Amino acid sequence: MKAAKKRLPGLALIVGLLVLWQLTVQFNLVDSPSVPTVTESVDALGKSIANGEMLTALGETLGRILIGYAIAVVLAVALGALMGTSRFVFYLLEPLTELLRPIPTAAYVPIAILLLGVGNEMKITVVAVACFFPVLLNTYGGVRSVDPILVDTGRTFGYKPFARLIKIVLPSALPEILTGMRVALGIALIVGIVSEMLAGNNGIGYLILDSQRIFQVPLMFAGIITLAIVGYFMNFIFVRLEAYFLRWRTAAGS
Amino acid sequence: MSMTESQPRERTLESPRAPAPIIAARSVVKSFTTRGKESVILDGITLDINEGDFVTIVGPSGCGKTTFLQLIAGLQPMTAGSIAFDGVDIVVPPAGAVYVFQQYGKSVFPWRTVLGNVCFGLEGKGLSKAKREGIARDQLALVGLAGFEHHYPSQLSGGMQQRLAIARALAPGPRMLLMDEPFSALDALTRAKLQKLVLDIWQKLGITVVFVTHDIEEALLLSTRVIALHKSPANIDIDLAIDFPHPRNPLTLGEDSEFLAKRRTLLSSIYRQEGIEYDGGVM
Ligand SMILES: Nc1ncnc2c1ncn2[C@@H]1O[C@H](COP(=O)(O)OP(=O)(O)O)[C@@H](O)[C@H]1O
Ligand SMILES: [Mg+2]
Repeated sequence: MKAAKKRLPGLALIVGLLVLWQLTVQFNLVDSPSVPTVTESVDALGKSIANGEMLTALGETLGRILIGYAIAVVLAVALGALMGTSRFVFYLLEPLTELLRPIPTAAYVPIAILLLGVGNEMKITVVAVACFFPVLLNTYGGVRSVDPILVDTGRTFGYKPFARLIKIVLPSALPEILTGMRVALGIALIVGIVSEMLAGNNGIGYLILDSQRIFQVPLMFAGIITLAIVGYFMNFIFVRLEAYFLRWRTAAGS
Repeated sequence: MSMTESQPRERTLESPRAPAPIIAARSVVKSFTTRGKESVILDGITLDINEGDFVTIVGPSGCGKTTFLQLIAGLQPMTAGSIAFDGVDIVVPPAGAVYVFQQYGKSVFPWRTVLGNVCFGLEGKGLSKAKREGIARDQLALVGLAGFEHHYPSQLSGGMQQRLAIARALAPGPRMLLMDEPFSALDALTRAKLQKLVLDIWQKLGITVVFVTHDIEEALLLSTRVIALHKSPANIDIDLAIDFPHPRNPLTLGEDSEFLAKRRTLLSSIYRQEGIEYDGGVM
């Protein structure tokens, strides 16, 4: 009840802005003929869902994003654990990662197109590369800051290095790893959409750009609304999973 | 039967039982090199510890008590010398000895429940989950944490976290516990409760305990033997057998004249080294 009450002003603002959008367009207060009303956009969204166009595009986009994301998480956690536990590997790879990391991910797209074409492989790769660095950095940061007493506790109970990694180091670094994964999830959506806008002929990124080119402006807005909703729910699910895995942090009192 | 016949028989009965020490330290040297400068901390310590004993190491702070205990635990490499656990030289942490850290709050796993923490030392040994949890529940009952199985460590007080660390250490059924100032961070009343708990556990299980403290009274209350180290570099200054009968009552023991004499001997060793002097000397 209380939490719902606190959320009320925020929801009211969104509704208010939608009403403002609707009214300003409806009463021609905005000059441009290329801005549809809210109702026209929602109408286009409903039609595109009904004829399957929107959901097909969404499936193509989400499929690529999630595969690229999963590949990045697995590789980055494995390499991050190695960098965090081995000083040699850390000093070997840290300069390279610091050099590559600041390159804006969109800049990888032309290279990826040259090497992999304009299909799924290119887009999955670009998403994976973009998601890789935040997860890697947070993983080795988290692994390096694991308290040595925890590790020694594993040793006194006879745990070997790999068992210590799985049972102590990674669980201890999980808060940081999940932070990296959360950042990467947002990046995955952005990069997935951008790669669709730059190359290829499917997915929501392409749908948005294509409908803008052929002046189907309500459909373009429908695509953007879909992205907003999908982005919101992806984050919502992630936050819920994070809270579940880190429930020991919020446990207090009895 | 004559005396001459019975005597050799007694000896043959005795000799297989003649207790081999559970810990045999020989000329143990430990030095640390910081910024190219080597400093010797432990100066060739030779020491036997018998199975079933409760041996407490005291000494001025920074003299190397923790370092020595960690060498016995196999948690640090030694510079020279050897320590055998049950006749086998220690190179990695030996199975059968568990180290209980001074900073218990950093040693319990915050992401595991109380029960999960105690199960830690039982995993990877082919025991079923039900079996592991059964053992863990028994240990929790032993340390007085029954009913807290599903709490997280962050929900426990300091004293309860230390009880948890002890239950976890006991779960795999070790022959030896190595405890580094386990109660130094606790208030006096909690400390008194845990002293009794450790004493009860030691008597009940018959395990060997090597204990470090800077509290001389605690050492005398708990131990069968107290070893005082001197510092820079450390070696054995005093080695005292403590034979007060069990059960020991800290209230009456504290007034015992032998207790007071031993307390004075041990304290004067530490005071002398710390340069604490009173009129009329420290003795
Ligand atoms: N890893 C280390 N590197 C350098 N010096 C150390 C290290 N660990 C301990 N020492 C030094 O060794 C000495 C003994 O330390 P410690 O065993 O912790 O003493 P105690 O437990 O008796 O207080 C101290 O002077 C300490 O500074
Ligand atoms: Mg110490």
